[in-house]
Amino acid sequence: MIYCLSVLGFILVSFFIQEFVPELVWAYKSRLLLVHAVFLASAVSVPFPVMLVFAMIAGFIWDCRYYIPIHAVEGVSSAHEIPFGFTIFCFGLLGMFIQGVRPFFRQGRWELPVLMVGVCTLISLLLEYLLICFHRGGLATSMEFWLKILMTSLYSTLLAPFLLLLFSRLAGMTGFKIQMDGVTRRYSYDGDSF
Amino acid sequence: MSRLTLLFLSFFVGLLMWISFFQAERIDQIQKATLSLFSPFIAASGSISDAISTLEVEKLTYSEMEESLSLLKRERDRLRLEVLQLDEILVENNELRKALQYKGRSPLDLLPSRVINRKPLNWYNTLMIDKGYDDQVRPDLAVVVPSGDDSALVGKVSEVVGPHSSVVLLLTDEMCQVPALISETVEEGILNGERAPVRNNPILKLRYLSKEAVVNPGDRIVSSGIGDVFRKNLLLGVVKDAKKGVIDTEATVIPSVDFEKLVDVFIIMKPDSVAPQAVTSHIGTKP
Repeated sequence: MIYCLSVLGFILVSFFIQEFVPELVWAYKSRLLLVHAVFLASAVSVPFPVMLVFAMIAGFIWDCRYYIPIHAVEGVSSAHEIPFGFTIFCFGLLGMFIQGVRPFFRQGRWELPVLMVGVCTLISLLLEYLLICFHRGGLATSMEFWLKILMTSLYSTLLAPFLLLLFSRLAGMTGFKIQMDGVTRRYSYDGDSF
Repeated sequence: MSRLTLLFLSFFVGLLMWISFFQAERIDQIQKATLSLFSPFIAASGSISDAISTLEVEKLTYSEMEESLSLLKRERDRLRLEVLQLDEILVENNELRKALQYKGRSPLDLLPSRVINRKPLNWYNTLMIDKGYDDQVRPDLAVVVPSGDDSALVGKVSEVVGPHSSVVLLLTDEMCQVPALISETVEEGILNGERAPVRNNPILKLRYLSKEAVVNPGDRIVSSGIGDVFRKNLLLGVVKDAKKGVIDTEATVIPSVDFEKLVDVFIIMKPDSVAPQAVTSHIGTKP
């Protein structure tokens, strides 16, 4: 419980830190999506129901802060391009994906969870962009666009090991059990049974 | 799947559906409350960015500073004289207007504003300014900067998000469509930017020009004044090149504003939304 509340605190703090994350103009205007990285890294360390609660809270705040309606034509809002609540759905979906690699994390193998944080960030950005394209018509992509998305995902991937380490330490401090005691076989070979 | 997981999943889906049916006004209220919570951080991040960009400015020696100061003093004196002359002309002009009972266009009512955040949104070319509904700013007001003797269009107010903050949709965004014309040939089209902000110096597209349109590199593109949002003769950019299509001509336009270096901008207030502190100015307007 203490662990889950602490992680939720980290997610909330990441929103405020996100404000100070600069946009790298030379890297195709990409920037680290800290909230996404923190949420995805935390999603791999908590049980499924807790992940859903995190997805709901993080997605809701993200939508409140970043999906400001854009009035394109006079008096007409195009806020529906990315509907309110989309990030909640997105975080829920990606959280479910990343829960799939939770057994690896629990075994102390971080390669796949780290990779998945980057992949899930990429999927989330791609989903948003596809939604915008669906609304406006025509799938306009360019090399710069792909590089922007890839760079953003790369930052998340690079940050993921540190976040996973942080959450592991935090779990240790709060007595939350992430790590499995050891991989035990449910049915071991017993020569006599044959 | 355990019973608890199923319960949480059902609760999550139910809550998501409830949120997705929120009315626009309700979302607006929630967003305004959230943004007011975030506003100190948004302002602080803007200040830090400004401080960092100030560090990049070339340091001047004492003699260079003295020289620069004397130049500025001379420029100030010249401008003072110019203002005095303009005041005389304005008085004369007003008298003549009165005499002729001429109801012409009023001069621009400009509300000076400062850019507080350059990256509020991920997929839109926007920036945040420090004027909001307390300053009587409302959506669809044009935002300009002086560029030589002209007013160059920056974009338009897209959303007023707080008492002292608004989001400006930049000219470089695909969603900001401006009725424009080539000032040399008076050929009309629609100018818009790109879909996702990826380039440092974005290129604009002037579309729907007639197939026979004569477009030359270096031609000035200005707003045509069609519609209520953008007034006539706001400078938009300069033609880079053009290509003829099957039914129309499309020109590539280099914007006249450096969007990366915007610090101070001016909102063109409309008569029904003129703020008390709005500065009435003639700078950059064409007769």
